[in-house]
Amino acid sequence: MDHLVHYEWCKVFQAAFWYGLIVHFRIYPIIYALPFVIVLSKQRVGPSRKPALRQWNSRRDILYDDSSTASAKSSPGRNGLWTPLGSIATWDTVIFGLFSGTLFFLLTVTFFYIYGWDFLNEALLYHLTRTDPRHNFSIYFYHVYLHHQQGFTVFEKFVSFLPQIMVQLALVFSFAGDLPFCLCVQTVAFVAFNKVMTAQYFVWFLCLLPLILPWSSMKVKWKGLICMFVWMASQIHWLMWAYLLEFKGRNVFVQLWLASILFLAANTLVLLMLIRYHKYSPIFMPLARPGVANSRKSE
Amino acid sequence: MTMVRSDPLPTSPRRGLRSWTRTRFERRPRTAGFTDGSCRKPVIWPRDGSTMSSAPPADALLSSAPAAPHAHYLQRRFDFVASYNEISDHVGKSSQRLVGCWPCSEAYLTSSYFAQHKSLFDSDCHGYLAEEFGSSDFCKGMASEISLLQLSDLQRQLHVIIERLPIGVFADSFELQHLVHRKVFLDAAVFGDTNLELPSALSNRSIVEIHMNIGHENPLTGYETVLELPLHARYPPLDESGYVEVQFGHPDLFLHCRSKEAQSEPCLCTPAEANVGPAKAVMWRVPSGNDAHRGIVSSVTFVSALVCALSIVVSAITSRNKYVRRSR
Repeated sequence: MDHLVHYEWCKVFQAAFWYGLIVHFRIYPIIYALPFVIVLSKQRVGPSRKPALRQWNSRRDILYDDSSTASAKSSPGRNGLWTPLGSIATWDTVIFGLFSGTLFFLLTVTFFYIYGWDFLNEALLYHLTRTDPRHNFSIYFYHVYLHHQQGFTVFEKFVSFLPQIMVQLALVFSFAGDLPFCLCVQTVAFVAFNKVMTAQYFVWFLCLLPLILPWSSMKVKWKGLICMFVWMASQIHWLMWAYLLEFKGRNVFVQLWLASILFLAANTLVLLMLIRYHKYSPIFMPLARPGVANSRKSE
Repeated sequence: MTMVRSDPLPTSPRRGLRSWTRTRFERRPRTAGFTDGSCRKPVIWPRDGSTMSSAPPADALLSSAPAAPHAHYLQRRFDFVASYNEISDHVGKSSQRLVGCWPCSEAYLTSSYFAQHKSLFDSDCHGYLAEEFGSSDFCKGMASEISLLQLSDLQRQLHVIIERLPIGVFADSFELQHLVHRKVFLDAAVFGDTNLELPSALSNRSIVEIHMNIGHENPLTGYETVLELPLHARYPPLDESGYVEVQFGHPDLFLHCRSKEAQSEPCLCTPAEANVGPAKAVMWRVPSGNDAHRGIVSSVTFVSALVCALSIVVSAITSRNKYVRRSR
């Protein structure tokens, strides 16, 4: 048993290592911390700390019988929106958080030693004070430009951050069990509601789409094509006004801002379609109550 | 629109030697030059008495070109006849007013300006250049030698153009280095505020220093040169008219020379300014935001974000509850 416990700890350390390294490279994966912690919580992993991965057949049907379904029913609160805080604070979550945080800190110190304040300013501190008044896909750019001379009140900063935090929390607590899907929709929403949005950010969620599309019942014809068309057409529409502003020097700030709102609406539509047609697929098997059989029926 | 060189360019993948010599003084579309990988070197018109079908263009601000799609181009025309005449008139006389000295090891003339001054004012810059040239210790040793020098004793090295950009305009140092790499300029550097993101109200001015080696067979006949400098506009202060006009001043022009025999420091520079195009100022009309939009833009922005966020929240909760009900 000792070597099995050691093996499980190694997996947590390995996961924490890669997570700390990734956050050092790009800050945005910090938004995945909460779903990782929820997935590692007692309600998902259980006291044995050896959760079983779900098995799927080729039709994406779950391979379990009614007895395990009964065990899923009999665990109140596990499928609810709110995971009790007590179940989050497990050895795994604490180790994960401490180790990844320590690695991030050590890497920051190392590169600060090599490159000095330039590294710290460019990699971390810049994000605390940055304002992006120049036009970008975000709906906030014109609002930031119109206020750049007098600054923002605390209330204005809070109100602009509120939609982002609302969406992130709702997505995390709704879909954390289906980790790949949760990470993908979190990223789409984070990019869409961010204060600054450029084309490079699209790569953040496009690379996660192959992980979730097999579990989507949305067909390419015609809903898939509509989603792609709406997203790309709204982007091209925005680019047209941006071209007139930057290349031709025409005052089209209002039109460009309205185009960015249209692009936010397109991103929202795509996200709603992804949620609507996704088959919720938790990565771990539900925890069985003592005395309840949990046999599986193979295809 | 730009003028074609009178002397043949190196053959490019798209344009051969024949097309250049055939269109000697014709106007040609802007799309040539950068798109085919050849370098757009400064254009030269000889002053040898030949009849030109059209005059070189005046100073102007040109719209963007394919090589630098986000930039506008500031086009400057320099008449070097006066420069060389002034050099030939004053070499041979000890005239510290017109001939200054600079250590050859210093790569740029204006690199230390912002070490001494926090912001750029034209009067400060002129005073700085005059002081640095005239009172330099290097000049004192050279003063007695200057009177003995003839023009033929000088090894002309390069031209230095110092463009003091008005507030609200900046040059991208990466873009300039790209042009240096493609041998459009010998060297180029930006000093001052190099933060490309800041709006005009929160930024300072900057200086662009360009080094060019405009080779010509007979410098005494003089020649004219057109220089195109890619520039970008910052977001200007808000204005209800929707536009802000930015005015460009005249650049400073220097000729960097070194004695042929004594290769040791210092280099000689003449700060005498060449004729820089006609007196008409170059203006750039930059679009600006309107302060009257502030209330409606903020309201609609927040409401839109809130509506979209609430729709996603409701959808997430509804979808999750549907799964829970299905699994019961």
